[in-house]
Amino acid sequence: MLIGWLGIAPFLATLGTLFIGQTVQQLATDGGQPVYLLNVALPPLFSALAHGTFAGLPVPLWIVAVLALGVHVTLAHATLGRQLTALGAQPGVARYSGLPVAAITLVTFIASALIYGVVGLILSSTVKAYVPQAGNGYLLNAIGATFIGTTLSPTRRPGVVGTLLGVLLLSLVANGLLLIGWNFYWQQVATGALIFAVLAVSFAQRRGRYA
Amino acid sequence: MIEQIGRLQRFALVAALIAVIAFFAMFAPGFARVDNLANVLLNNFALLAIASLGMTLVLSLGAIDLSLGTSIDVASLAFVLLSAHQVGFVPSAVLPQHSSSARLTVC
Repeated sequence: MLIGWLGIAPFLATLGTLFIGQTVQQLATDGGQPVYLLNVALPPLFSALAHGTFAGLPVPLWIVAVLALGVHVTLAHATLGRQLTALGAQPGVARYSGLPVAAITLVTFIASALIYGVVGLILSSTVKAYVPQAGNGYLLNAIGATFIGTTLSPTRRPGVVGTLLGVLLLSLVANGLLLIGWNFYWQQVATGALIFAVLAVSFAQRRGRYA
Repeated sequence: MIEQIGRLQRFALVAALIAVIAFFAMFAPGFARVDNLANVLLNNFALLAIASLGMTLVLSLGAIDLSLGTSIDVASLAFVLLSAHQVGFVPSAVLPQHSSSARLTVC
């Protein structure tokens, strides 16, 4: 709402929510203590969310597949997705052609929040606990993966296929470096260098095209 | 000529993927085994992929969402707290979704 109607830059508004959300969690958990679910009888579906399998594949991968299909169809074919993409590519034009900018923005942020919520549920189910600040590790990786993914599109737009390939790249690098035995901190350096490399190649192309 | 190079560079990501897989297959012991790759898909890939799908929506809008991590945490916390109080699976799973999106709606 702040972004849509008050016109606050998304960067700043979501930064604000980041601080507010952190504080809410700290208030609810005595300053950020983990909450464990050790002695509680949990419903069977609770751990099925992360550890179960359906038709031979783990449930989280099914969730990825369903959401990927949903986001792809929405972005590429649904009216909302096309409006959303238009707004992203040409905000001024979209506004003047009478698109309901505030509503589109609101729906997009709610949809993405619901998707993040799914991650939270699976995360809790995986470790059977609430671990403070566990989600923030995903923030930069998700941004990185999505930006890496934009290099796949000729117009540098984010897309589902590119994003998934970007995530796959980051995951494989993290796992491979772990197996080689690199220190965790050096893994971050390697990930950063890799993002630079892919983006550098991509931007070299852009320069070539318009030069 | 430029077009051709451009087409090659467009697939820098795919090339990087192949290079990374080849590199680790050679140098990382156990990397190319099926159980390891399945483990990567389940433990590294799945959660980040879901989170990145949300980020893809927001970035398509030309915006950016820094509250991704907080959204995940709030949903996780609400889910765990509700489950701890034995509310039952369905409300425990649905209510955090509302808290996650309500937070954004208020903001």
